Amino acid sequence: MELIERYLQEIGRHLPASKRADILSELRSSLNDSLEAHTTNGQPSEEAAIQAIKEMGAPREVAASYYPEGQYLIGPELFPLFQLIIRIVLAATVGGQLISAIVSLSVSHRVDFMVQELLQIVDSIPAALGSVVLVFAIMQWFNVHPDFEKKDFDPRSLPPLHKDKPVHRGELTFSIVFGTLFLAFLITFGTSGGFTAKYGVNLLTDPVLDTYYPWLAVSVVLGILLDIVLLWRGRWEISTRIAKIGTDIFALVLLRLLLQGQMAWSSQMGLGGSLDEQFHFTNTPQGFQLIGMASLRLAFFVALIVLAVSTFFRIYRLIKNDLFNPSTPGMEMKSTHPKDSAPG
Amino acid sequence: MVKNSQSSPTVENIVQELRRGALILAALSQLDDEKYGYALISQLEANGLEIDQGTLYPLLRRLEAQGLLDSKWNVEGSRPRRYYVINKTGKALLKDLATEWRLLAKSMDKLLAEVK
Repeated sequence: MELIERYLQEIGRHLPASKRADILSELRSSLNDSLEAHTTNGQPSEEAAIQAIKEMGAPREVAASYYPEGQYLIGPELFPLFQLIIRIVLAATVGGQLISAIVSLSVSHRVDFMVQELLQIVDSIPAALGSVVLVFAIMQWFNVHPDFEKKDFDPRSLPPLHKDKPVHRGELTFSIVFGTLFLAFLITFGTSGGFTAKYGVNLLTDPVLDTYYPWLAVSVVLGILLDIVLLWRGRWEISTRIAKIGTDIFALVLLRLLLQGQMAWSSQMGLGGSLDEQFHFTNTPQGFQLIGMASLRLAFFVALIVLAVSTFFRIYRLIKNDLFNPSTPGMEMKSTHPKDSAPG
Repeated sequence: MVKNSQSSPTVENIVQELRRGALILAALSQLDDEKYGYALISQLEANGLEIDQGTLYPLLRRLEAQGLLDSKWNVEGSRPRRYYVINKTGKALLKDLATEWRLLAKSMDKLLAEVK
């Protein structure tokens, strides 16, 4: 019964991820028992499902009752809303600070200004989160609860079933950390002339990368912002799939330009394409630069191929699952076993 | 649950608080044999004690987390169900709780004798 799955999906949104699948399996089993009890002529009706759902209670209330009891700074009734607000505030603070750092860099062309902007994240996150905690603690103190669901809870108004898969939080976190480190690398070398550099060792000297690094930084920031949005939403949706394809295509164009630039530079220097060939020049004054350029060209080439393949599959999945088959739910409606994946 | 003509959120909260401890005792008392949640609700209702599914399931999980119940999934039958049963620690506690309850009930009867 789709209504029951929509109801469980809504409860799942507010449950702790570690226990979500198990709790939802048990509730599904119980709802089906209840549905059976309310069914008179063999075929469960929507009315019977509504009755079973109403007996269990409003989704947020049910989910809240699974949080531990005790003395609260923020109690179970407020906690799901608190979680939602904290994620929004966190994403807005980090996103805003990253944008501000990029703007600062592009306007001032000074890395120290941008680093200052980035360091402000350390101050702004505790301040923003602290404010949210304070507001919710005051709400808890005065027993203010958003109990709008209690009065007008109508199972028919539950959101439709998601057909998108949950995100892999570990992968996204890794991607954000890696993206931030790569951004720091780009900014450090780029803004202080690193790619054409005088750091004593000219291994990373790369005039082509020097030309494109601000765009590369923009591409990385867009990727990080999208990862933050995905972490917040918890699942892939059409909009985020399209946005991901957009950022991938942007990165592909950049990689293509970088590769073209590297090749043009090599031929200008009268060199062939192989890395081996570059090693003959290690004793020349430009030796390190040549090896660095060739290594980066190889890295760009590999990245281009990997990204092109993954983008192709993303587009394929978008067309197959979302655009031409919009009515097929991605979640198994009959899934009742605790080991089955659960919505959320 | 008692339906009060002056039912308000405050009254509901007080009634819920009053019932909370009793529900733990009631649930523990009926889990000598393995039961799944819906069967336990039906059994409690048959004995005149109404309990919401949204209250019972979290309660069972808390009792299990406190080490008073054991549970397991049974995938045989028409659908998979999680079965709960009271364990040794739970039985010892139930005995103490039952004694406490009887004493409390006796005292409350005396105290409420004149309440109309």
